[in-house]
Amino acid sequence: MKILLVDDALMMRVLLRGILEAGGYEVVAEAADGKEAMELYRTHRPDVVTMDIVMPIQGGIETVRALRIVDPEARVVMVSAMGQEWLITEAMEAGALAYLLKPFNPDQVLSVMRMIEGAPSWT
Amino acid sequence: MDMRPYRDLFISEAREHLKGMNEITLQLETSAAEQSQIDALFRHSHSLKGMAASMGYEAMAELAHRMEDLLDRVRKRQLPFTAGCADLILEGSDLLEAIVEDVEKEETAPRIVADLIHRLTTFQGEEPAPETNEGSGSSCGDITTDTSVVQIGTGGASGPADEPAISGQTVRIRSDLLDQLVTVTGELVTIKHRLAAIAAAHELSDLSGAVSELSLLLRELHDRVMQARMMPFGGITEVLPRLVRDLARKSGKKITLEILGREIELDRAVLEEMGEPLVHILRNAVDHGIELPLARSAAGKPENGTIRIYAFREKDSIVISVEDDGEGMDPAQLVASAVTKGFIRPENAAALTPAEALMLTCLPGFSTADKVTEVSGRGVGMDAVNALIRSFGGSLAIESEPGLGSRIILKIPRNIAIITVLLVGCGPFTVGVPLSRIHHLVEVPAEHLVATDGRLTLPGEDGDLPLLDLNELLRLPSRRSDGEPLPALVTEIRGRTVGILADRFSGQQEVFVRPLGRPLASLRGLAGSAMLGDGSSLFILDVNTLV
Repeated sequence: MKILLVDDALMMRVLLRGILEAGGYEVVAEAADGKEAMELYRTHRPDVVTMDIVMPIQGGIETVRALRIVDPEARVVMVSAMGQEWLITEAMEAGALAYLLKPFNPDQVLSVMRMIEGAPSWT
Repeated sequence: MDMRPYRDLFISEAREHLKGMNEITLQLETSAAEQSQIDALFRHSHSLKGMAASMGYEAMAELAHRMEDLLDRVRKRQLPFTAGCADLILEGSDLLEAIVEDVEKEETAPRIVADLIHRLTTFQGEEPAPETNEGSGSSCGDITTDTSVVQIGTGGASGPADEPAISGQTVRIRSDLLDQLVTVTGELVTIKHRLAAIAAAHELSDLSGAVSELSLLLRELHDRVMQARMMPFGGITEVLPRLVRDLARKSGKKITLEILGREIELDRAVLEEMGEPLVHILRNAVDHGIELPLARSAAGKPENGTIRIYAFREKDSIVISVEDDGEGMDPAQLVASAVTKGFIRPENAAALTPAEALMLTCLPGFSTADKVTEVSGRGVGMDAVNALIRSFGGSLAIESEPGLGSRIILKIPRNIAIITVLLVGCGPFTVGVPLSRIHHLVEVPAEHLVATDGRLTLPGEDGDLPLLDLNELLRLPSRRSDGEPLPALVTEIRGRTVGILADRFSGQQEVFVRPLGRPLASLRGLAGSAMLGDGSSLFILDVNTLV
């Protein structure tokens, strides 16, 4: 399963990439903001996108909406920090399939990915 | 989960966020807050929180979280962004920086964050800041940082501010490794000269050909190695806006700090040494230069004082000037004070030019401050600043107009390790004079080599050029005039253009300058020594201290 990581913090991308690759997933690209994510989505057509919520240039929720217009089958997992739970609801309404909370728990990350893998895309 | 592999990344990225946070906070104090800036501040604190939580640094995560909450309130317009707000954010970012430092040093003693967290959560706007808030309502602080000037750029490798300084195009190199490269390159240059000498001595034209090719490549290698050692001036100016802001707030002054030429590159070794002197000069400008707002308006000046730091290239030198539009220095008062303190004899005082009088401030132990305040009492003195600049082969000059302001001008050679010198012959000796110090060479006809009232001058279109005799300066027996013209090099000594007479010029050469050891280091007029191709050593003159 090909994954696109979207997070403005390099450390977070490296961290998440480590967890995902250890779990046998392939990270095909990393984006630091929503705009870059849109471009990389077009070129790489990943199976899943992990999307941070708070980012410069174009935030995560806005990007989920935009992605779902470009590709209604896009599968997005929101990544959010503690204390942002109200944003998760908004993200799910925008079309995200699942969410991950920072700090990451590797087991939790992988189980969410497995769940997404088997799930039909939300159409 | 083992987080150790992520520690270095965490440290460098956290610092990027803290830097961004500081910059924006200082910008926000001058202009009405723009939503995009508040959003960016919010994002920085948010990212810091997430990163710290992931690393398991709970105190840091909690503090960043509370800063984020405060900024969220500002973002939602529940709270205006005031100076008090900026203080809290800056204090928070200082504490976060301290925690990052602890992480770096593997210091485990916890930092106390509870007090600041309490103040962050209970902050409800503020009483107006003392004394300074009579101006427009939207601007809340006393310091502006010029944001229109060029941002730091390192050869296109650094991305936008939000992007951490790690990318595929840059690598980090240990600085001692770079130093070794410079040394090896220097030795190679020396050996090239030896080869050239051998080729010339034995008339080996094919060897000469190879040596001149080698020469080109060495030049290239030298340039590249020196380039790798260069760092932008902006690297040491980041902390200055904050410093001036804090000093100004403490002393009730209003000051705008402008920094120009951040992109100008200096040798890393020089740059590292320049931070402290720059801070000292700035403290002086804030403390003794810029007047209180009331005094400024009484003198018909704008209440807001300006300090401008300006770095630019001039030939082979980098000039850093720090100027303020404050009260300036009075040469007469400086002289009087120097006499009172016993630095100079009353009978010598009258002979001092205004420029020399200003340089009195660089005497060890000389300070014009009536009382030493907290601001000026710390750190190095101007004498230490002057000594440091001189040790680089640079110079320090002071200009000042009473009532209008002062300017401190630091001139530093761009590359300190390998320089091109003119070989200057004087009797049996040959010395080197750095080419960067020489304006041009002239020939002085014999008729001008006869002194009139003890002084030699060469008449020219731009007035008479004072001439100094190198023989005399080096305490060599003075030469008798035999009707032949003599060569002279034209240079600048403490702001004055002068010619220095020599017996002969025997070409120029690249040399690797080594600092002199004791006891030679204390001799005036010597900048260092170098080894020539034939194995002999060459003294490099520092024309500035020669006279």
